[in-house]
This record gives sequence, C-alpha cells and structure tokens, in this order.
Amino acid sequence: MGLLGFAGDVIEQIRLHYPALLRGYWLTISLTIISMTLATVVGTVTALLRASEYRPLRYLSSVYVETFRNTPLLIQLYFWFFALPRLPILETHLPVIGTINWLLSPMQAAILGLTAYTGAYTAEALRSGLRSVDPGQTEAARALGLTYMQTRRHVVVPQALRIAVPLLTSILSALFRNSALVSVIGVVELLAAADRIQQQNFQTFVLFTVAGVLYLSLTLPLAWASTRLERRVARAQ
Amino acid sequence: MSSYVLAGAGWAPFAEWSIWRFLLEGLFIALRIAAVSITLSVVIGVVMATARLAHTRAIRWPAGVYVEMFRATPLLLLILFVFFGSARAHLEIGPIAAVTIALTLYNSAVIAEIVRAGILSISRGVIEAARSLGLTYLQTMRSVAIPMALQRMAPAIVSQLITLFKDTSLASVLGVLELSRRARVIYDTPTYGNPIEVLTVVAFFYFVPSYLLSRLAQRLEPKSERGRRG
Repeated sequence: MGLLGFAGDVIEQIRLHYPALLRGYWLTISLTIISMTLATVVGTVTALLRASEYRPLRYLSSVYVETFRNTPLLIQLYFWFFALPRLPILETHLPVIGTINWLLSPMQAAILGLTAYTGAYTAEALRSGLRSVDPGQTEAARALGLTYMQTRRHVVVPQALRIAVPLLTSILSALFRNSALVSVIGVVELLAAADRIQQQNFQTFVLFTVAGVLYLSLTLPLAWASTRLERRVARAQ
Repeated sequence: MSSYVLAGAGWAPFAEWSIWRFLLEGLFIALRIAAVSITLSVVIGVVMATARLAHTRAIRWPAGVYVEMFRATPLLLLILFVFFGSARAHLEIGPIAAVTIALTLYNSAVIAEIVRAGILSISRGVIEAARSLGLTYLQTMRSVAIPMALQRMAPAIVSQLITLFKDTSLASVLGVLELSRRARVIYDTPTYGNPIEVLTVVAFFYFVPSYLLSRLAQRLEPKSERGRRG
C-alpha cells in the first residue's frame, strides 16, 4: 500500500473518527489520573501498615500486596465486575449507605480494579524507599534531639522519596498501559475506541497505529522522565 | 458474606475431578506460552541490549527504537495488532502464535533494558582486561559482559517472568482456551454460574507459580543486598 498511501489513510481515519478517538484518549487519561491518585493513598496506607508494630496489621497488608501483585489484572477486573454482584444484597440499615447490592458500573469496576492492582505496586515502591534509608540515620537524628515525627519528615521521607519517585514514575507508565485492559469489561477507552472502528471498516493497521501513537504520547515522556530521575538518584548516592 | 461463599452451591462443581483437570490443562497452556515467550525474549533482549551498546550508530539506533517503542505500548494493543493485523495481511497466524509474538515483542524490549543496565553496571576494568587479553568487542560481550550481566540481573529477569506469566491471561481475549478463558467457560455455564468460586480458584492457580517465582527472585539477590534489607 506504500508509505504515502498509509499516511493518507491515517489522515483520513483521524478526520473521520477523531471525536471517538479523542473521547477514548481522554478516558484513558482520566482513568489513569483517578486510579493513580487513589492508588497513592492506598499504597501509602499499606506501606505504613507494613512497617507497623502490630503483627496483624503487618500481616494483612502483606496479604493484600502479595495477592494483588501475584494475580493477573484481568482476573481481578473480572472479579470486581462479574463476581462481586453475586454476593447477597446487604441491608445495612445505615444512613447514606443503605442497601448494598454490590453492582458496579464498568467504569466503577475499572477504577476499583486499577486502583487495587496499582496500590499494591505503589506500596512496594514506597516500602523499598523507606527501607533504603539506613536506620543509623534515624538514630542519629533522634540523638540530635529531633522528635520521631520530625525525623520522619525531614530525614527519612525525603531520602525514601528519592528512591521511590523513579519507581512511581514507571508504575504510572504501567498504569497507562494497563488501563487498556478495562476494555474487556466494556469501558470504551482508547484501545476499545480504536478496536470498535477497525471492526467496522477493517482499517486495522491504521487505527491501531493511531492508538499506539496516542499511547506513546503518554508513556514515552514518562519513560524519559523515569530514566532522568534514576540517573539523578544514582549521582546523588 | 463469607458464609455465603463457604456454604454456597458454587463450590459443588469442584467435587468433580474433571473441573480441576479442565483448569489444570489451562494452567499448562499458560505456562507453555510463558516458557516459549520468556526464552525468545531473553535471546532477543540480549541481542537488542548488545546492539544498543554498539559503537555503530546504524546498529544502535534501530535497537533503541525497538526497545523504547515496544516497552511503552500496551500489551493488549500489541496482541490485537499482531492478531488482526496479520489476518488483514492474509498471514495465517493462530491466536496462540499471535499472543506469543506480542508477549515476546513487549518482554524482549523490557529485558533488553534490564540486560543493558546489567552490562553498564560491570566495572570498566573487567571489560578493559578482557579486551587487553586480545578478545574482540563481540567476544568480550559474549563470554564476559553478557554472562555477568545475566547473573547480576537474574532477579529482575525472574520478576519480569512473573509479569509475563500473568499477562498470558490476555490470550483469553483472542479466545485461546488458557486458564482465564477456561474460568469464564465454567462460570458462564448456566448450571454453574459461580464466578466468585471459579475466579478465586483460578486466581490461586496464578498466585502459586507467581509467588514461588517472587521468592526465587528474592533468593537470587546478592547476599549483601539481602542482609541489608533484613
């Protein structure tokens, strides 16, 4: 078909279908931002619990991390979307909450699935950051008269983040890519949008190339940032 | 909630050995796809890592594009691209082959970066010593740098294998009857209709090999590192 013909087809498909493709692109970005925000909260709480003095809390948080990291995201999405609604309806008799029927919309299941999966990875990234700080530093800071919270805030956390931030950047990039999976539960994000069009007009190469370029527009800058951050950490050490 | 799951009729099908065998066959297919893909990925990854470190720009550049592009693209997109794209190009590629190719494209790019980092972490002195002993650049790579890098990066490669194994579940999207697809076949059967129970069992089937591999990755980490991390 020739490179020029292909470029022409790309322009033609973009001209015809840009509203649907842009809607998908925007949904991919929104899903990622919402899930990453929630996953950061979940990950921080989990990382703190894993460092807790109470064994049951430590145990629970590591069960969460290991379970969600060692099973496929696809199975987790199926679980939230197809299995959860099979639970019996719960009458809580509480205000606001009321009756729980466990039914999630595709979008809700997608956000829950991506958050729970990414939260486990985030927790590990934060934990490895915290562990990279020599305990001697905490002791030294305490010996200098800093309180526990001051030591955490001014000594431990800044150093931990130096290790964790490059890891978090690649987790964010992975989340962008993983968000394509929610198409299997019916969320029309970027990949699903491109797929629906190519199923109708058979412009498979063109539409998947356009979708691929749109994904790369998000993931390549992150990969670049991640490499730079890693180098910065390596130099600082 | 727990009483429902524990006492529910959803577990009844698991009294039959045939259900277990059906799922175990799916696990076997998933493991086979993972084994083929990781082997190809390590081979291609090593080639790409070496190419990215070559002195000639004409070699370095294409390898760089390959690595940066494939590791930044969603795997599901690659799978659909290879499968539907090959069909449009009138190439007869079956769904298992398409998934294996897509998994290899993605994972070889990731492993290339791991191996490259490994080679770069070897001290210059070792490389220079090999060169001064009369080894050519490629000989140095093949018999000194790459073996050292692979050994050093073994934990990272095993971690990538875990990701790859979990990602074989995406083959179900093309209708490959591997573990995830078989789960759906069971719970979509009207007489069963038990997604909670089936997905729990299947999650466990994925969990066991992944968890064992993650322990292996931890054990492969250098001793000093392990000691430091407690």
